[in-house]
Amino acid sequence: MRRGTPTAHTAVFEATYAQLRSIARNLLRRERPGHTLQPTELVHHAWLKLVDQSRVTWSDRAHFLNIAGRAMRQVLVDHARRRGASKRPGALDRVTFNEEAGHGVASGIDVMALHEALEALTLLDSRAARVVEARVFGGMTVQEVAHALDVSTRTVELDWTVARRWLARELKEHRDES
Amino acid sequence: MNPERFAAIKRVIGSLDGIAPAERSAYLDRACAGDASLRADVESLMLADVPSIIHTGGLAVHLAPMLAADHAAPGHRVGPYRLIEVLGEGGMGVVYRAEQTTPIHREVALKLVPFGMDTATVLSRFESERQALAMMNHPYIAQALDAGAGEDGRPYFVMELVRGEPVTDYCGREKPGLSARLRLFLQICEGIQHAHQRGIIHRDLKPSNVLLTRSGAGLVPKIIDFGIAKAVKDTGRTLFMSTLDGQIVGTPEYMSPEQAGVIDAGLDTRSDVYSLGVMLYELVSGRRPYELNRRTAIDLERALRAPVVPPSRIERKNGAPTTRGQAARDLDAVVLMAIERLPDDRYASVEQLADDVRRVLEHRPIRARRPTWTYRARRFVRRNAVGVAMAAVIAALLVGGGVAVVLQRNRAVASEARALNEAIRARAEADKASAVARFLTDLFRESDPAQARGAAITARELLDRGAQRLDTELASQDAVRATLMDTIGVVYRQLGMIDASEKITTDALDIRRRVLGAQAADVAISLDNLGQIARERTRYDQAEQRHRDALAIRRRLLDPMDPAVAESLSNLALALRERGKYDEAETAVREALAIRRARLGPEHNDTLASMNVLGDIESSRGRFADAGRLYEEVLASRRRNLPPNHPRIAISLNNVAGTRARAGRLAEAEAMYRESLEIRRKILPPDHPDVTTSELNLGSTLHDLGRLDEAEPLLRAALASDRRHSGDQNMDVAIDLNNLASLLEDRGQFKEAGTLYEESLSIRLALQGEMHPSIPTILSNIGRLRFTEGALAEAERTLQRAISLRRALKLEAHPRQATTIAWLGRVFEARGRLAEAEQQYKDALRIERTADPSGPGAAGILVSLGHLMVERGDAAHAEPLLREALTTRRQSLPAGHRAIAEAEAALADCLIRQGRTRDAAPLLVSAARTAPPEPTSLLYSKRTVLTLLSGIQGK
Repeated sequence: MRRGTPTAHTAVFEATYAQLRSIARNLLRRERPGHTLQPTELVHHAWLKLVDQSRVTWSDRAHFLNIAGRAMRQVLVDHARRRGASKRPGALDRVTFNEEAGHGVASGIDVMALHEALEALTLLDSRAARVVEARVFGGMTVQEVAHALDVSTRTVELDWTVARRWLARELKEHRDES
Repeated sequence: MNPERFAAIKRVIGSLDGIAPAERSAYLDRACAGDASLRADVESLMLADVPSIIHTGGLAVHLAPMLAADHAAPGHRVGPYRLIEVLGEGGMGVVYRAEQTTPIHREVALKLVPFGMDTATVLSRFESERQALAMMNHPYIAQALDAGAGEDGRPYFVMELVRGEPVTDYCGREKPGLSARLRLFLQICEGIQHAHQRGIIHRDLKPSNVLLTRSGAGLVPKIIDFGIAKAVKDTGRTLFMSTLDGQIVGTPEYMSPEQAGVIDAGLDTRSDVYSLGVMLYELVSGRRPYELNRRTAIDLERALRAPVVPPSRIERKNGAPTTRGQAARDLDAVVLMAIERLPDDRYASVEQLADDVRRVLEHRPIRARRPTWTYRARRFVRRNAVGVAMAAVIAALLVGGGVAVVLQRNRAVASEARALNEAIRARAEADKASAVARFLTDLFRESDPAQARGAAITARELLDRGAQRLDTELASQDAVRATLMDTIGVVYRQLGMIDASEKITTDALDIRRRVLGAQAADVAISLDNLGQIARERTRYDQAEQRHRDALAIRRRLLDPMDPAVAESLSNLALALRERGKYDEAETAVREALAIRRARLGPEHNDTLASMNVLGDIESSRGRFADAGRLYEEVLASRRRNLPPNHPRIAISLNNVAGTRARAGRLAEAEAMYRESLEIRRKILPPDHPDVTTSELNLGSTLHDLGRLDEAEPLLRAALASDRRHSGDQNMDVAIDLNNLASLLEDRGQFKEAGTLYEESLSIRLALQGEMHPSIPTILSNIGRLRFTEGALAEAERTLQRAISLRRALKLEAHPRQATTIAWLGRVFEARGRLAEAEQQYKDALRIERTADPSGPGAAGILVSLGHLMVERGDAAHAEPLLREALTTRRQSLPAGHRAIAEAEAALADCLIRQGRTRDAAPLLVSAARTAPPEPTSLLYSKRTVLTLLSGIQGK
């Protein structure tokens, strides 16, 4: 798996997307109350399933995770949409089958809101948005993101710091509005 | 907001890094150069409060520590602590500097563990360690203070805040001398020892967990992160490259092999010894013993298997001192012993390691040395009772045979097993059984005093008992248990206990699939073993499938020249051969041979085994000369390298004898079969399939030699054994039936012979179906029998069926086809279709001469053809053929064999028709002595010979 060819990317993305959905479906079916799920866990599963472990390198993994992050985000967004998640910012679509999902959280972020905020961020600084997507949905470390995007780790860190704060502010404002 | 503004904000925030909080405001003024809205943006972003969780429809997506990790924001609260700043991101979460306000005010280190795990379980596990952790009170250990769960439910752990730098960084910076480094190391050991004494293993020792700080006492190491690994991880082993906790596990170079899952062993204090060893290596040389370029599990495993460069010899880095002389050599030995791959080969405790390091410092002799095998073996026994009893059993039963190969898969046991092997081979050869039993008893007693008894224990009892003990004693160590189960399964099979073998091997496979996943290397081992079992049961279709499955796994996981791939290929080849798929089998075994020759050498037993397989394939194709050469080479090598009564020599003898028999050198064949049988009777239990194989083969040879009285009991014994051992529906039984029937046929007991042939045929059809080479073999025999009984029409039908089956199986060039066609010729002759008969004989002769130019098989055809030609009035042309036949038979058969009589009579007949009665007479006299009294399938019986004789004597 090497970056560069668009077709490779698309194919991987599609495969990953399909795999993530199937894993997510399975995990959701088995979900116990009180158990929470990380998107990175799903990505890890997809990684194991889609890739021949004996032949990959760290670099391959970084690239994969990059794409997987995007796919993961898409999965979550689709999932939220299907659940009829409200597009109104701040509406917390919490519990449909997990009654105890509230871990005492007063602040929650709607996935759709995050998604839309990310879209907005992309218009301001597309690389920063990709850093957030990679870290949040792909579970990548700073080094991996740097490698995948071909920039320095300092760059990634700064993007991350600023983007995160900007998102937080965006999302808070939306919540306050509702 | 637009992109330019965003970029500007980023620039300003980025440049804030080196500015102290007090200076910030002024700096911002300057940086924003009067742009008030820019300044407002920057400030509002700086103050943004980043929350940690989003929920959506039950799929709780947790974004911490990403979103919550926050370098400069004012305190996020976690329990009673307020986070101040991030100290670092580690393998199991982010570590913060935090402030505790109640009950006392102090600064601590707080580690937030990410979600994805069951909080309650994590905390309860930590709780159980907390008692012990609380009892630890040592200046070199960072105190564990607290644990809990935040509002969002995430677990956190609180430790004494240590301000310092990793010990390796310090050494890289300050470049202290060797003594100073070693003294630092001893301090670290002291701390770890303290923990070990209280039953705590660190499990995650690495330089970033050993911080050097300045205290009143000077420079002091502080070891952090005790106990957290255990609380957080499920098993004692860490998944390499796991992101289940949201991060990649940091530095695998310090992880012990058992932690990385590369060997099967539990974690104990020696895992910490290993990690300390790696650190010592780095302290001394500036480098790590393993540099991993690629961070995959396979590469870690390979790296751990590669030999390590001793620290004195590796090129320095980071200003590490060079070491010279005795101290260097001693230090090398100490380091290398600490990082031995197997826990048993390392120092047994940190104390021992520290002791030796102290000795290096003080220039005293060290204790580490390359252990001798006896030392190792003894130590091994004491530590690992169940494991070694099994290893001993296996090694002992082995008597230097093939199971050692199996043991090498159980890597932890390999070197010990080899050593034990040597010990056994050195013992008396004469009475193997009791020597083995004695050895086993000794070992058993040594390893388990409670079970010691006066009486000798049989190997089987030991195995059974061992199998039982596995279930109870190792219930929780699945992978280890599966390995031992698998190994015991092999021994059961070697003893001929197929049912027990299959059961335990299947169980092992199930466990491995469950614990390791369907594509694991160990699963391939079990599959291959099951394939061998299937072959023993003569279920060759099953065997083929299993070996293919094993091969597929191995091709995926291993490099193409790995001997394990060769093993599966060789096994597969055997199964394919039994199914008659000779071409595929040859391809497979040639590949196996290429690998084994290259990787193991030409005289390695596995290489020889594959040569045998190739020989078997050639045999099946009728290429007996080629087969013979292969077998002979193997036999010669084995006689060179193995003790005289070795089971593998028996195998080779069996194989070579088979080709000798086919070549007509029956006396040699008999001698070899006898030797093979003797060896096997000595070392194997009765009813073992190999013993019956030898009985069968010897019996058949004696049959061929005409010694029917000696042959029959052997064949009957083999049949009975095989029925007892394997049941009635079994290829071995089918072969036994065939051979016995053929003997009875020669005795004239046609009815009984017919019954046995039919039974053999029905077994073969049931097991293999019609499209299998063994079917025409037996049909041919039945056809011959019918012919001898006089049922000509049926004989013709049956023989034709055999012939066309072989054509369909592409075996039209096999020597046996020649034989069958010749018999068809006899049938035609008997039915008066002489021209057709002659054609058959000529076809048969052509096939036989092509397939086996120097073999004796042509003789029978020549006699038939010559006899016919004589009948048709062409005695002159028949004579050379018959002379050839007689010469061949005289050479290959013992004097007095009835087939010689047949040839003599036929030639005599031919001469008489040409009027040369004087030449005919001595032949007839000789034939009269040894021709069979009753009519048989041979052309001449005693009566006909005497008739001929009286005819000429009358003249």
